[in-house]
Amino acid sequence: MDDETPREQELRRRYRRHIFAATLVYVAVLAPVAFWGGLDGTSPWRFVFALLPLLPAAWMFTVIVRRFRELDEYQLRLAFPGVGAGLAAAMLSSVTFGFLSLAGLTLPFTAWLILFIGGGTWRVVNQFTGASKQF
Amino acid sequence: MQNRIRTEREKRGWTQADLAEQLGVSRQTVNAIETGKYDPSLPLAFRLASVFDQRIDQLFTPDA
Repeated sequence: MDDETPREQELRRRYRRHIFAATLVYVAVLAPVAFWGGLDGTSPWRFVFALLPLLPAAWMFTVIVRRFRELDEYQLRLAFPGVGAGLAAAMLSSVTFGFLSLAGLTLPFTAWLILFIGGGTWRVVNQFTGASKQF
Repeated sequence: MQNRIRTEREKRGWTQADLAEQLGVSRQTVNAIETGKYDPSLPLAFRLASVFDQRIDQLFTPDA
């Protein structure tokens, strides 16, 4: 972006490179685990296979945390509403799905729904606060 | 809080990006300070004072 200093550009590009690489590895691990990991079988190894995608997910997490640590005080202030809204949305949807489940309505893939609701809210709010250009 | 950051920066012929590089912050932050959207922290105010070789109270004045 033209309105960034060279250092800002370098940091943002590095973040995007690393998060792209981590996501790629995540998908590369997730796909074989989901299709050939035998997660619906009986082997005790299925638990190990099911948790394997956590490794690239942890890498994604560290990339995002490092990005937050690179932001300056004003950029952090812009980023907080998105993080707060994402967390609140994830917590609310978790409680909502929990109560629906108690009432006998169990929706499929609720864990993933919560992830996408939280992450999606974070991205949408960032568009309004001006924090989206940091990520 | 009102400030004279834009005036002092322009007096020296610096762009917002030049000042941001010297302060170690983003250009977005310099712009927010200049336009009064954001009041910097005390450490950043001290860095601004140092860069412009002025006292903080010469750069920042409280709203009337």
